[in-house]
Amino acid sequence: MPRTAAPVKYAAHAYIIELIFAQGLYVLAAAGRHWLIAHAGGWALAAGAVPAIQIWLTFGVVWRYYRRIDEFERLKFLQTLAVSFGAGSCLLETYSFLEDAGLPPLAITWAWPTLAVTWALTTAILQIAQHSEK
Amino acid sequence: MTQGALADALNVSRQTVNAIETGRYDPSLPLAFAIARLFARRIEDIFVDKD
Repeated sequence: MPRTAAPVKYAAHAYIIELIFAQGLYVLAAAGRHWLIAHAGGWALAAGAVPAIQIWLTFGVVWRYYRRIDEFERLKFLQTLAVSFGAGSCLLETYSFLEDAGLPPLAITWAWPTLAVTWALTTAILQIAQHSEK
Repeated sequence: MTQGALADALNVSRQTVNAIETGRYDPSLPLAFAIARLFARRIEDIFVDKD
């Protein structure tokens, strides 16, 4: 049973809106971070951390969604997270070894986009698999 | 009763009701009790032990 009194059927709708908002802010902040750092004067370090605020905001959105959904949706959600973050970590680790063999070094800022893409792909694949089971 | 109406009454998603009906998911005890309460039946009248 969900831990909140809000109807479960609106959870996905609210989640998508909140996630688009948080990720939209992230893309803006990530794209503009070099400009922010250059114009922040003595606050350059704080300006550099601005995109991280949106990452934490995204974490809050995901947590809110998890609290709103029912037990079966929660199970599927956690399975998707486990598979996608496992696959994303393997992907990043593989690339780090390939860097030793000559591939260009990848900034740590690529970690979140990589994990986000593997998460989206895993969600899509598991949704298709679930629909084909019916 | 439709799956959507049952889902609303239990405050779960329609996919959850579908998964329980098709045997792809076994509900927790609190949810199983809520279903039994809704249909005014005993829990073992609704959920059968297959083993």
